[in-house]
Amino acid sequence: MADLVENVLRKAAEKESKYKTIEVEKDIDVDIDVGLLLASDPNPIDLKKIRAHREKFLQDLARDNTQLLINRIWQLPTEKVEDAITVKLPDPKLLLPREKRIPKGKPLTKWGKKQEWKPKWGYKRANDETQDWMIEVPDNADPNEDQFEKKKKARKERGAKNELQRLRNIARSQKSKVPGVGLTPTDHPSKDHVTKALTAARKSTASIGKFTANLKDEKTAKHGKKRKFESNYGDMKSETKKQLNILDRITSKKPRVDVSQAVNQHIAKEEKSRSKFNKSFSKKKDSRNRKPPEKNFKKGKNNKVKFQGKNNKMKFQGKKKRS
Amino acid sequence: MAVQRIVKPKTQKGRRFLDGREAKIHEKAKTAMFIKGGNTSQTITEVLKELYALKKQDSVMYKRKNIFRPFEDETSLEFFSKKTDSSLFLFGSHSKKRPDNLVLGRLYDYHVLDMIELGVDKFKSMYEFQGSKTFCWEQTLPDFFWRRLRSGCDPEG
Repeated sequence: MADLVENVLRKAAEKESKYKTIEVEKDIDVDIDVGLLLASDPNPIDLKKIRAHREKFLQDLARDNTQLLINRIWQLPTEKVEDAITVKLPDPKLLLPREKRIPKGKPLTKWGKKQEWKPKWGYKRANDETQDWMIEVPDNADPNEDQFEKKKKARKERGAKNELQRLRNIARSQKSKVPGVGLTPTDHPSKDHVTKALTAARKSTASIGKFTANLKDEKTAKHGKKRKFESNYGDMKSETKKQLNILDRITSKKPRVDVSQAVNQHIAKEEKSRSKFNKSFSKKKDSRNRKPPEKNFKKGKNNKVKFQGKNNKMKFQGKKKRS
Repeated sequence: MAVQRIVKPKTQKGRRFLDGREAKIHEKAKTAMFIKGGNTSQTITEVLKELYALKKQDSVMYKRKNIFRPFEDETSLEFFSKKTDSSLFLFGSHSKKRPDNLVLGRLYDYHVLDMIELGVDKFKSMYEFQGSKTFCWEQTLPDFFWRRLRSGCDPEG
Protein backbone atom coordinates (compact mmCIF):
# COMPACT_ATOMS: atom_id res chain seq x y z
CA MET A 1 0.00 0.00 0.00
CA ALA A 2 2.70 2.38 1.02
CA ASP A 3 4.70 1.45 -2.09
CA LEU A 4 1.81 2.21 -4.36
CA VAL A 5 1.34 5.61 -2.78
CA GLU A 6 5.03 6.30 -3.15
CA ASN A 7 4.95 5.33 -6.81
CA VAL A 8 2.01 7.53 -7.58
CA LEU A 9 3.56 10.48 -5.77
CA ARG A 10 6.84 9.94 -7.57
CA LYS A 11 5.20 9.88 -10.96
CA ALA A 12 3.29 13.02 -10.21
CA ALA A 13 6.47 14.72 -9.15
CA GLU A 14 8.07 13.60 -12.37
CA LYS A 15 5.41 15.08 -14.51
CA GLU A 16 5.97 18.39 -12.86
CA SER A 17 9.71 18.30 -12.94
CA LYS A 18 11.65 18.94 -16.12
CA TYR A 19 13.83 15.88 -15.92
CA LYS A 20 12.76 12.39 -16.67
CA THR A 21 13.38 9.50 -14.34
CA ILE A 22 16.69 7.76 -14.42
CA GLU A 23 14.97 4.45 -14.76
CA VAL A 24 14.51 3.33 -18.31
CA GLU A 25 12.45 0.39 -19.40
CA LYS A 26 13.43 -1.56 -22.46
CA ASP A 27 11.98 -4.69 -24.02
CA ILE A 28 15.39 -6.13 -24.77
CA ASP A 29 18.29 -5.19 -22.57
CA VAL A 30 20.74 -2.78 -24.03
CA ASP A 31 24.20 -4.24 -24.46
CA ILE A 32 26.55 -1.87 -22.70
CA ASP A 33 30.32 -2.06 -22.96
CA VAL A 34 31.47 0.28 -20.24
CA GLY A 35 35.15 -0.02 -21.14
CA LEU A 36 34.47 1.50 -24.53
CA LEU A 37 31.48 3.59 -23.36
CA LEU A 38 29.40 1.81 -25.97
CA ALA A 39 25.69 1.01 -25.72
CA SER A 40 24.14 -1.23 -28.40
CA ASP A 41 20.37 -1.24 -28.39
CA PRO A 42 18.90 -4.26 -30.21
CA ASN A 43 15.27 -3.26 -29.71
CA PRO A 44 13.19 -3.17 -32.89
CA ILE A 45 12.03 0.22 -34.05
CA ASP A 46 8.36 1.21 -34.10
CA LEU A 47 7.82 2.41 -37.66
CA LYS A 48 4.64 4.32 -36.91
CA LYS A 49 6.28 6.33 -34.16
CA ILE A 50 9.23 7.20 -36.31
CA ARG A 51 7.06 8.36 -39.16
CA ALA A 52 4.87 10.44 -36.93
CA HIS A 53 7.48 12.34 -34.94
CA ARG A 54 10.90 11.55 -36.28
CA GLU A 55 13.03 14.07 -34.39
CA LYS A 56 11.32 13.46 -31.07
CA PHE A 57 11.59 9.72 -31.46
CA LEU A 58 15.32 9.92 -32.15
CA GLN A 59 15.88 12.33 -29.30
CA ASP A 60 14.03 10.12 -26.81
CA LEU A 61 15.87 7.06 -28.01
CA ALA A 62 19.23 8.75 -27.65
CA ARG A 63 18.36 10.10 -24.22
CA ASP A 64 17.20 6.73 -22.91
CA ASN A 65 20.24 4.85 -24.09
CA THR A 66 22.60 7.53 -22.80
CA GLN A 67 20.83 7.38 -19.44
CA LEU A 68 21.36 3.63 -19.28
CA LEU A 69 25.03 4.04 -20.09
CA ILE A 70 25.51 6.74 -17.49
CA ASN A 71 23.69 4.60 -14.91
CA ARG A 72 26.16 1.87 -15.59
CA ILE A 73 29.08 4.29 -15.25
CA TRP A 74 27.81 5.42 -11.86
CA GLN A 75 27.64 1.82 -10.72
CA LEU A 76 31.43 1.54 -10.93
CA PRO A 77 33.56 2.39 -7.85
CA THR A 78 34.28 6.11 -7.73
CA GLU A 79 37.38 7.96 -6.62
CA LYS A 80 37.80 11.59 -5.83
CA VAL A 81 40.85 13.12 -7.48
CA GLU A 82 41.33 16.84 -6.82
CA ASP A 83 37.67 17.79 -6.47
CA ALA A 84 36.62 15.61 -9.38
CA ILE A 85 34.81 12.34 -9.05
CA THR A 86 36.48 9.80 -11.28
CA VAL A 87 35.77 6.25 -12.19
CA LYS A 88 38.17 3.68 -13.52
CA LEU A 89 36.75 2.06 -16.62
CA PRO A 90 37.14 -1.68 -16.94
CA ASP A 91 38.71 -3.40 -19.94
CA PRO A 92 36.60 -3.22 -23.10
CA LYS A 93 34.63 -6.29 -24.10
CA LEU A 94 34.63 -5.51 -27.79
CA LEU A 95 38.17 -5.82 -29.17
CA LEU A 96 39.12 -3.17 -31.64
CA PRO A 97 41.89 -3.94 -34.12
CA ARG A 98 45.37 -2.71 -33.30
CA GLU A 99 47.00 0.11 -35.10
CA LYS A 100 50.40 -1.50 -35.61
CA ARG A 101 51.96 -4.90 -35.27
CA ILE A 102 52.93 -6.28 -31.92
CA PRO A 103 56.47 -5.15 -31.22
CA LYS A 104 59.24 -7.68 -31.31
CA GLY A 105 61.53 -7.58 -28.36
CA LYS A 106 64.91 -6.06 -29.08
CA PRO A 107 67.94 -8.26 -28.43
CA LEU A 108 69.94 -7.23 -25.39
CA THR A 109 72.93 -5.11 -26.27
CA LYS A 110 76.38 -5.54 -24.79
CA TRP A 111 75.50 -2.97 -22.16
CA GLY A 112 72.10 -4.48 -21.52
CA LYS A 113 73.57 -7.69 -20.19
CA LYS A 114 74.92 -6.97 -16.77
CA GLN A 115 78.59 -7.82 -16.98
CA GLU A 116 81.45 -6.59 -14.91
CA TRP A 117 83.86 -4.42 -16.81
CA LYS A 118 87.32 -5.88 -17.24
CA PRO A 119 90.33 -4.19 -18.83
CA LYS A 120 91.41 -5.48 -22.18
CA TRP A 121 95.09 -5.91 -21.22
CA GLY A 122 97.21 -5.87 -18.14
CA TYR A 123 96.52 -7.05 -14.61
CA LYS A 124 93.23 -8.93 -14.21
CA ARG A 125 92.35 -8.63 -17.84
CA ALA A 126 89.46 -10.32 -19.63
CA ASN A 127 90.34 -13.40 -21.70
CA ASP A 128 93.61 -13.97 -19.94
CA GLU A 129 95.31 -16.92 -21.61
CA THR A 130 97.95 -17.32 -18.94
CA GLN A 131 95.30 -17.93 -16.28
CA ASP A 132 93.84 -21.01 -17.98
CA TRP A 133 93.72 -23.83 -15.49
CA MET A 134 92.79 -26.31 -18.18
CA ILE A 135 93.77 -26.54 -21.82
CA GLU A 136 92.23 -29.10 -24.15
CA VAL A 137 94.73 -31.24 -26.03
CA PRO A 138 93.79 -31.09 -29.74
CA ASP A 139 93.35 -34.34 -31.64
CA ASN A 140 96.37 -33.95 -33.89
CA ALA A 141 98.75 -33.00 -31.08
CA ASP A 142 101.22 -35.21 -29.25
CA PRO A 143 99.65 -36.39 -25.96
CA ASN A 144 102.91 -36.04 -24.08
CA GLU A 145 103.42 -32.46 -25.18
CA ASP A 146 103.08 -29.82 -22.50
CA GLN A 147 100.32 -27.50 -23.77
CA PHE A 148 100.98 -24.91 -21.10
CA GLU A 149 104.63 -24.67 -22.07
CA LYS A 150 103.62 -24.53 -25.69
CA LYS A 151 101.36 -21.54 -25.06
CA LYS A 152 104.05 -19.82 -23.04
CA LYS A 153 106.59 -20.31 -25.76
CA ALA A 154 104.24 -19.09 -28.45
CA ARG A 155 103.57 -15.95 -26.41
CA LYS A 156 107.28 -15.30 -25.96
CA GLU A 157 107.94 -15.84 -29.62
CA ARG A 158 105.20 -13.36 -30.55
CA GLY A 159 106.74 -10.80 -28.23
CA ALA A 160 110.20 -11.39 -29.60
CA LYS A 161 108.94 -11.08 -33.16
CA ASN A 162 107.24 -7.82 -32.32
CA GLU A 163 110.44 -6.51 -30.74
CA LEU A 164 112.46 -7.50 -33.78
CA GLN A 165 110.07 -5.74 -36.12
CA ARG A 166 110.19 -2.65 -33.96
CA LEU A 167 113.99 -2.51 -33.94
CA ARG A 168 114.14 -3.17 -37.63
CA ASN A 169 111.80 -0.27 -38.26
CA ILE A 170 113.94 2.02 -36.17
CA ALA A 171 117.07 0.88 -37.97
CA ARG A 172 115.41 1.40 -41.31
CA SER A 173 114.28 4.89 -40.41
CA GLN A 174 117.75 5.79 -39.20
CA LYS A 175 119.39 4.05 -42.13
CA SER A 176 121.74 2.07 -39.94
CA LYS A 177 122.80 -1.42 -40.84
CA VAL A 178 120.79 -4.25 -39.42
CA PRO A 179 122.57 -7.45 -38.56
CA GLY A 180 120.88 -10.22 -40.47
CA VAL A 181 119.02 -12.84 -38.59
CA GLY A 182 120.60 -15.50 -40.71
CA LEU A 183 119.09 -18.92 -41.16
CA THR A 184 116.53 -19.77 -38.49
CA PRO A 185 115.97 -23.45 -37.82
CA THR A 186 112.88 -24.88 -39.53
CA ASP A 187 111.21 -28.25 -39.41
CA HIS A 188 110.93 -28.59 -43.19
CA PRO A 189 113.74 -26.66 -44.92
CA SER A 190 113.33 -25.75 -48.55
CA LYS A 191 115.98 -26.27 -51.25
CA ASP A 192 116.94 -22.62 -51.04
CA HIS A 193 117.31 -22.93 -47.28
CA VAL A 194 119.55 -26.00 -47.62
CA THR A 195 121.83 -24.39 -50.20
CA LYS A 196 122.20 -21.34 -48.03
CA ALA A 197 123.00 -23.50 -45.04
CA LEU A 198 125.54 -25.41 -47.10
CA THR A 199 127.40 -22.29 -48.27
CA ALA A 200 127.39 -20.96 -44.72
CA ALA A 201 128.83 -24.21 -43.42
CA ARG A 202 131.56 -24.19 -46.10
CA LYS A 203 132.66 -20.75 -45.06
CA SER A 204 132.63 -21.33 -41.35
CA THR A 205 136.23 -22.50 -41.03
CA ALA A 206 139.39 -20.80 -39.83
CA SER A 207 140.51 -20.18 -43.38
CA ILE A 208 137.03 -18.91 -44.42
CA GLY A 209 136.25 -21.84 -46.67
CA LYS A 210 139.45 -21.76 -48.72
CA PHE A 211 140.45 -25.33 -48.10
CA THR A 212 137.12 -27.08 -47.51
CA ALA A 213 136.79 -30.22 -49.60
CA ASN A 214 133.92 -30.58 -52.04
CA LEU A 215 131.22 -33.13 -51.63
CA LYS A 216 130.54 -35.61 -54.35
CA ASP A 217 128.96 -33.89 -57.39
CA GLU A 218 129.32 -30.51 -55.74
CA LYS A 219 130.60 -27.61 -57.76
CA THR A 220 132.16 -24.82 -55.77
CA ALA A 221 131.57 -21.25 -56.85
CA LYS A 222 134.43 -18.85 -57.16
CA HIS A 223 134.99 -17.02 -53.96
CA GLY A 224 136.95 -13.94 -53.23
CA LYS A 225 138.22 -11.23 -55.43
CA LYS A 226 141.63 -11.80 -56.87
CA ARG A 227 143.78 -8.70 -56.77
CA LYS A 228 145.34 -7.73 -59.98
CA PHE A 229 148.71 -6.09 -60.04
CA GLU A 230 150.47 -4.53 -62.90
CA SER A 231 153.98 -5.75 -63.70
CA ASN A 232 156.96 -3.88 -62.25
CA TYR A 233 158.64 -3.60 -65.61
CA GLY A 234 157.18 -2.80 -68.95
CA ASP A 235 154.96 0.09 -70.03
CA MET A 236 156.92 3.22 -69.09
CA LYS A 237 154.49 5.65 -70.69
CA SER A 238 151.48 4.66 -68.68
CA GLU A 239 153.57 4.56 -65.52
CA THR A 240 154.87 8.11 -66.02
CA LYS A 241 151.38 9.36 -66.81
CA LYS A 242 150.01 7.90 -63.64
CA GLN A 243 152.76 9.28 -61.47
CA LEU A 244 152.41 12.79 -62.96
CA ASN A 245 148.64 12.68 -62.37
CA ILE A 246 149.21 11.98 -58.72
CA LEU A 247 151.63 14.89 -58.49
CA ASP A 248 149.16 17.27 -60.13
CA ARG A 249 146.47 16.37 -57.66
CA ILE A 250 148.76 16.96 -54.72
CA THR A 251 150.02 20.34 -55.87
CA SER A 252 146.72 21.83 -57.12
CA LYS A 253 145.03 24.50 -55.00
CA LYS A 254 141.46 23.76 -56.00
CA PRO A 255 139.65 21.81 -53.35
CA ARG A 256 138.21 18.57 -54.51
CA VAL A 257 134.65 18.90 -53.35
CA ASP A 258 131.84 16.53 -54.15
CA VAL A 259 128.96 19.02 -54.29
CA SER A 260 126.15 16.53 -53.97
CA GLN A 261 127.81 14.94 -50.95
CA ALA A 262 128.29 18.33 -49.36
CA VAL A 263 124.67 19.33 -49.89
CA ASN A 264 123.37 16.08 -48.42
CA GLN A 265 125.59 16.45 -45.40
CA HIS A 266 124.38 19.97 -44.87
CA ILE A 267 120.71 18.99 -45.13
CA ALA A 268 121.21 16.15 -42.68
CA LYS A 269 122.84 18.53 -40.22
CA GLU A 270 119.96 20.99 -40.50
CA GLU A 271 117.38 18.28 -39.96
CA LYS A 272 119.12 17.09 -36.84
CA SER A 273 119.32 20.56 -35.38
CA ARG A 274 115.63 21.22 -36.20
CA SER A 275 114.47 18.01 -34.58
CA LYS A 276 116.45 18.86 -31.46
CA PHE A 277 114.94 22.32 -31.43
CA ASN A 278 111.38 21.03 -31.87
CA LYS A 279 111.78 18.51 -29.07
CA SER A 280 112.86 21.13 -26.62
CA PHE A 281 110.07 23.54 -27.53
CA SER A 282 107.33 21.05 -28.36
CA LYS A 283 104.98 21.83 -25.45
CA LYS A 284 105.50 25.54 -24.96
CA LYS A 285 103.00 27.79 -26.73
CA ASP A 286 104.89 31.03 -26.34
CA SER A 287 106.05 31.60 -29.84
CA ARG A 288 107.35 35.11 -29.43
CA ASN A 289 110.71 34.48 -27.87
CA ARG A 290 111.73 31.60 -29.93
CA LYS A 291 113.30 31.75 -33.33
CA PRO A 292 111.56 29.62 -35.89
CA PRO A 293 113.83 27.24 -37.73
CA GLU A 294 115.16 28.61 -40.93
CA LYS A 295 114.15 25.96 -43.33
CA ASN A 296 110.97 24.06 -43.93
CA PHE A 297 111.49 20.98 -46.01
CA LYS A 298 107.86 19.90 -46.03
CA LYS A 299 106.46 18.88 -49.35
CA GLY A 300 103.83 21.25 -50.62
CA LYS A 301 102.89 23.74 -53.25
CA ASN A 302 103.65 26.81 -51.19
CA ASN A 303 106.66 25.48 -49.40
CA LYS A 304 109.24 25.86 -52.11
CA VAL A 305 112.71 26.02 -50.76
CA LYS A 306 114.99 28.38 -52.55
CA PHE A 307 118.70 28.45 -52.04
CA GLN A 308 121.14 31.10 -52.87
CA GLY A 309 124.59 29.80 -52.84
CA LYS A 310 127.21 32.46 -52.24
CA ASN A 311 130.59 31.46 -50.96
CA ASN A 312 129.05 28.20 -49.97
CA LYS A 313 126.56 29.95 -47.69
CA MET A 314 123.00 28.79 -48.05
CA LYS A 315 120.39 31.44 -47.42
CA PHE A 316 116.67 30.64 -47.19
CA GLN A 317 114.49 32.67 -49.49
CA GLY A 318 111.11 30.92 -49.39
CA LYS A 319 108.08 31.42 -47.10
CA LYS A 320 108.71 31.06 -43.39
CA LYS A 321 106.15 28.94 -41.63
CA ARG A 322 105.71 29.42 -37.92
CA SER A 323 105.46 25.95 -36.46
CA MET B 1 57.79 7.67 -53.24
CA ALA B 2 57.49 5.40 -50.23
CA VAL B 3 59.94 5.97 -47.42
CA GLN B 4 62.17 2.98 -47.90
CA ARG B 5 65.55 3.98 -46.52
CA ILE B 6 66.21 3.23 -42.89
CA VAL B 7 66.49 6.63 -41.30
CA LYS B 8 68.90 6.64 -38.37
CA PRO B 9 68.21 9.50 -35.99
CA LYS B 10 71.08 11.89 -35.42
CA THR B 11 69.60 13.88 -32.56
CA GLN B 12 67.85 12.91 -29.35
CA LYS B 13 64.73 14.72 -30.53
CA GLY B 14 64.71 12.72 -33.72
CA ARG B 15 65.20 9.50 -31.82
CA ARG B 16 62.31 10.31 -29.49
CA PHE B 17 60.09 11.18 -32.47
CA LEU B 18 60.81 7.84 -34.12
CA ASP B 19 60.32 5.97 -30.85
CA GLY B 20 56.91 7.59 -30.59
CA ARG B 21 55.99 6.10 -33.96
CA GLU B 22 57.14 2.61 -33.14
CA ALA B 23 54.74 -0.18 -32.30
CA LYS B 24 53.81 -0.43 -28.64
CA ILE B 25 52.02 -3.06 -26.61
CA HIS B 26 49.50 -0.55 -25.22
CA GLU B 27 48.50 1.79 -28.00
CA LYS B 28 47.21 5.27 -27.45
CA ALA B 29 44.31 6.87 -29.36
CA LYS B 30 44.42 6.40 -33.12
CA THR B 31 44.98 9.38 -35.36
CA ALA B 32 42.49 10.08 -38.13
CA MET B 33 43.10 11.71 -41.51
CA PHE B 34 40.42 13.93 -43.00
CA ILE B 35 40.86 13.99 -46.75
CA LYS B 36 38.84 15.77 -49.43
CA GLY B 37 38.41 14.23 -52.84
CA GLY B 38 38.59 15.73 -56.33
CA ASN B 39 35.23 17.46 -56.02
CA THR B 40 33.54 18.40 -52.76
CA SER B 41 30.24 20.02 -51.92
CA GLN B 42 29.61 22.35 -49.05
CA THR B 43 27.73 19.72 -47.07
CA ILE B 44 30.49 17.22 -47.15
CA THR B 45 33.16 19.77 -46.26
CA GLU B 46 31.08 20.88 -43.30
CA VAL B 47 30.65 17.29 -42.20
CA LEU B 48 34.39 16.74 -42.36
CA LYS B 49 35.05 19.97 -40.53
CA GLU B 50 32.73 19.13 -37.67
CA LEU B 51 34.07 15.64 -37.25
CA TYR B 52 37.57 17.04 -37.34
CA ALA B 53 36.61 19.50 -34.63
CA LEU B 54 35.35 16.64 -32.48
CA LYS B 55 38.49 14.66 -32.96
CA LYS B 56 40.84 17.62 -32.88
CA GLN B 57 43.46 16.13 -30.60
CA ASP B 58 44.32 13.14 -32.71
CA SER B 59 43.55 14.08 -36.26
CA VAL B 60 45.06 15.53 -39.36
CA MET B 61 43.10 17.65 -41.81
CA TYR B 62 44.29 17.80 -45.38
CA LYS B 63 43.51 21.21 -46.77
CA ARG B 64 44.05 20.46 -50.41
CA LYS B 65 42.00 18.24 -52.66
CA ASN B 66 43.38 14.79 -53.33
CA ILE B 67 42.17 13.30 -56.54
CA PHE B 68 41.98 9.57 -56.03
CA ARG B 69 39.38 6.90 -55.37
CA PRO B 70 39.79 4.99 -52.12
CA PHE B 71 38.09 1.85 -53.33
CA GLU B 72 40.20 1.67 -56.44
CA ASP B 73 43.58 2.83 -55.35
CA GLU B 74 44.72 2.68 -51.78
CA THR B 75 48.39 3.57 -52.28
CA SER B 76 47.82 7.25 -51.60
CA LEU B 77 46.07 6.44 -48.34
CA GLU B 78 48.86 4.19 -47.24
CA PHE B 79 51.44 6.81 -48.05
CA PHE B 80 49.56 9.44 -46.09
CA SER B 81 49.16 7.14 -43.14
CA LYS B 82 52.86 6.46 -43.07
CA LYS B 83 53.66 10.13 -43.27
CA THR B 84 51.32 11.22 -40.52
CA ASP B 85 51.33 7.99 -38.51
CA SER B 86 47.54 7.63 -38.72
CA SER B 87 45.38 4.54 -38.77
CA LEU B 88 41.93 5.98 -39.45
CA PHE B 89 40.73 8.05 -42.36
CA LEU B 90 37.64 9.91 -43.54
CA PHE B 91 37.45 10.66 -47.22
CA GLY B 92 34.79 13.10 -48.38
CA SER B 93 33.84 13.69 -52.00
CA HIS B 94 30.94 14.76 -54.20
CA SER B 95 29.90 13.63 -57.68
CA LYS B 96 26.69 13.38 -59.61
CA LYS B 97 26.39 9.67 -59.09
CA ARG B 98 27.47 9.71 -55.49
CA PRO B 99 26.54 12.99 -53.92
CA ASP B 100 28.00 13.84 -50.52
CA ASN B 101 30.01 10.68 -50.29
CA LEU B 102 31.88 9.80 -47.10
CA VAL B 103 34.29 6.89 -46.90
CA LEU B 104 35.37 5.82 -43.43
CA GLY B 105 38.19 3.40 -43.08
CA ARG B 106 40.91 2.09 -40.91
CA LEU B 107 44.44 0.83 -41.49
CA TYR B 108 46.58 -1.78 -39.88
CA ASP B 109 50.34 -1.59 -40.14
CA TYR B 110 49.98 1.21 -42.70
CA HIS B 111 47.81 -0.94 -45.00
CA VAL B 112 44.09 -0.54 -45.53
CA LEU B 113 42.14 -2.94 -43.33
CA ASP B 114 38.50 -2.06 -44.14
CA MET B 115 36.42 0.78 -45.53
CA ILE B 116 32.76 1.74 -45.47
CA GLU B 117 31.09 4.12 -47.88
CA LEU B 118 28.24 6.31 -46.67
CA GLY B 119 26.21 9.06 -48.22
CA VAL B 120 25.08 12.15 -46.38
CA ASP B 121 21.35 12.66 -46.90
CA LYS B 122 20.62 15.37 -44.41
CA PHE B 123 23.20 17.27 -42.49
CA LYS B 124 22.38 19.45 -39.53
CA SER B 125 25.36 21.22 -38.04
CA MET B 126 25.87 21.00 -34.30
CA TYR B 127 25.66 24.76 -34.14
CA GLU B 128 22.03 24.53 -35.22
CA PHE B 129 21.24 22.58 -32.09
CA GLN B 130 20.60 24.39 -28.90
CA GLY B 131 22.88 24.08 -25.97
CA SER B 132 26.51 24.69 -25.23
CA LYS B 133 29.11 22.88 -27.23
CA THR B 134 32.33 21.43 -25.97
CA PHE B 135 35.05 20.21 -28.22
CA CYS B 136 36.62 17.89 -25.73
CA TRP B 137 36.30 14.41 -27.13
CA GLU B 138 35.43 12.84 -23.83
CA GLN B 139 32.15 14.69 -23.67
CA THR B 140 30.72 13.69 -27.02
CA LEU B 141 28.65 10.58 -27.31
CA PRO B 142 27.97 9.87 -30.95
CA ASP B 143 24.66 8.18 -31.51
CA PHE B 144 24.41 5.84 -34.48
CA PHE B 145 20.95 4.80 -35.51
CA TRP B 146 20.35 2.39 -38.33
CA ARG B 147 17.73 0.04 -39.58
CA ARG B 148 18.16 -3.20 -41.41
CA LEU B 149 16.06 -3.14 -44.57
CA ARG B 150 13.85 -6.16 -45.07
CA SER B 151 11.92 -7.04 -48.20
CA GLY B 152 8.44 -5.55 -48.28
CA CYS B 153 9.37 -2.91 -45.81
CA ASP B 154 9.17 0.69 -46.79
CA PRO B 155 12.60 2.22 -46.23
CA GLU B 156 12.67 5.53 -44.47
CA GLY B 157 13.09 8.36 -46.93
